[in-house]
Amino acid sequence: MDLRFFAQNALGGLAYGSLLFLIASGLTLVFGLMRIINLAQTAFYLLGAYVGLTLVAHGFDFWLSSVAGGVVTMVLGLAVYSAFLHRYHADPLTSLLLTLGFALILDDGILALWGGDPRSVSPPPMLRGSIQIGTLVFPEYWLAVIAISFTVAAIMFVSLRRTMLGVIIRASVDDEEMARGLGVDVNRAFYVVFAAGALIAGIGGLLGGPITSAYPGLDGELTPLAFAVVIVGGMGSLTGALVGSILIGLVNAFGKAMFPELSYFTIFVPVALIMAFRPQGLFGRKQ
Amino acid sequence: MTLLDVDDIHTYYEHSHILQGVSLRAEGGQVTALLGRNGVGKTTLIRSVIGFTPPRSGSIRFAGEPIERLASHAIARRGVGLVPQGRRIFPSLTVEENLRIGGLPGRSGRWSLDTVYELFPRLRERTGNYGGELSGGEQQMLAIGRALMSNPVLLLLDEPSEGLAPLIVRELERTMSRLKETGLAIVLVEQNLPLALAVADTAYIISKGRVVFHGDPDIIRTDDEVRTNHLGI
Repeated sequence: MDLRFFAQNALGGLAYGSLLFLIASGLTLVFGLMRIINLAQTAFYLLGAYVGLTLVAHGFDFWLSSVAGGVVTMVLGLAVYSAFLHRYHADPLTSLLLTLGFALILDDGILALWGGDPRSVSPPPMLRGSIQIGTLVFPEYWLAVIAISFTVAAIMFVSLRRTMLGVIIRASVDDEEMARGLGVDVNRAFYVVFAAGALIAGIGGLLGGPITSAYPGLDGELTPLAFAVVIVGGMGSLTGALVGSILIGLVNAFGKAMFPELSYFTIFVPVALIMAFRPQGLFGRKQ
Repeated sequence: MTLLDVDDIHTYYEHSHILQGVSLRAEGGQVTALLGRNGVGKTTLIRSVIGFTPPRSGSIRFAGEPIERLASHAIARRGVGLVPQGRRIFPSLTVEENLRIGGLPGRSGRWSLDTVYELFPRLRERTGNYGGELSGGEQQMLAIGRALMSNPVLLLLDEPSEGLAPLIVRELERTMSRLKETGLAIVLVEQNLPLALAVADTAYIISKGRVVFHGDPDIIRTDDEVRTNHLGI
């Protein structure tokens, strides 16, 4: 295994893991807070990608289009949440079936609106080059995606640690009923967290476009990886989502490079081991 | 003035009929003790008042207004403070954050971070520690402080002495007396009979989901028959 092979896959894995974090952070917080398993989270990512690439095709700025894709996704997510999911807190099975249904509806909607051909997405012009260090070549865009995701992670961490909303969210993950009994309107925190999860996944859609491209069924491929992240990291833990994303991203990259015919195996063996020996995940608390 | 007026409430857990027509009154500025053996519905009564397990029938009035159909957070914001059984400190929050979240209802009054720290100097020393790192006695102080932060009119105290060393229980008694002096009304659920009788102005005994005795705490102290029949001691 030479240095070049190692460096390329490490960076590729980090970039892919960064995208997984944008999806899995919302997944883990929504589950930790509301006990809703949102199977539509990766469909949110895909919707953000298609909305974003359509705007880019109409000449809009890449970054603006990415954020717009996130906002459209957030509005849709909030509509789904307030109309349906809101009633099924702490009812994981019902919410699971509901979100599975919405994932299928979103998939078919995307297929109907944008067709079945894969869409490749170019990075914004300023980031199309590469950085060369010795014999190693790194695409600038990969580095940018890693930097953006870590910035998003930092903002989320500071919000959780330093704001009153963060205090409310942590308290509600600990003991929602008690938070209500102290006069906290936990429902407002639920809306904010669901909206933030959909927004970040939706923004991630176009950001990830140059790496994952966009095609119907991409969400179905990402869902097992995003859930692997949540299981490895521990449900409800943002630190867990970050560490889990990096781990799964790296294992995915090296696994595909070294044992391409066993790519799912290399990811889910560690997941199975964690479920067997540490079912709450690396950073989760025992229920 | 009757601050809390519980009238003929029936509360269920799923199909179990726990409270079978309980009525009681708590007066402003007084300590009302709820006594009774384990599993007779005392905690269920507290849970009914704060809205965790609303009654299926009957009414609960707080300061003259019906609250039995309100959400818990709305009940708390009207001035009901809760120190639950088992304390239920948030382990992922620091001591200070636990107190700040208690102050969220934004009701004004004598209690603030500073005055709670004056009442419990020990908590000031532990301000940056996480809730899960505290001793049982410290957790109890924090649970009381957290409830006080909302400047409640009525404090629901559910088994505050549970699991505490005798020395800490005596401190708890002094704390309750001080709170009473501030004019705070307290509904106290307590297994520790001497503690409850020392601070209570009036006492109820609950048995199998019904009130079986209501009267002066002195009667419970002196009347062996009441104690034997209803408390089994």
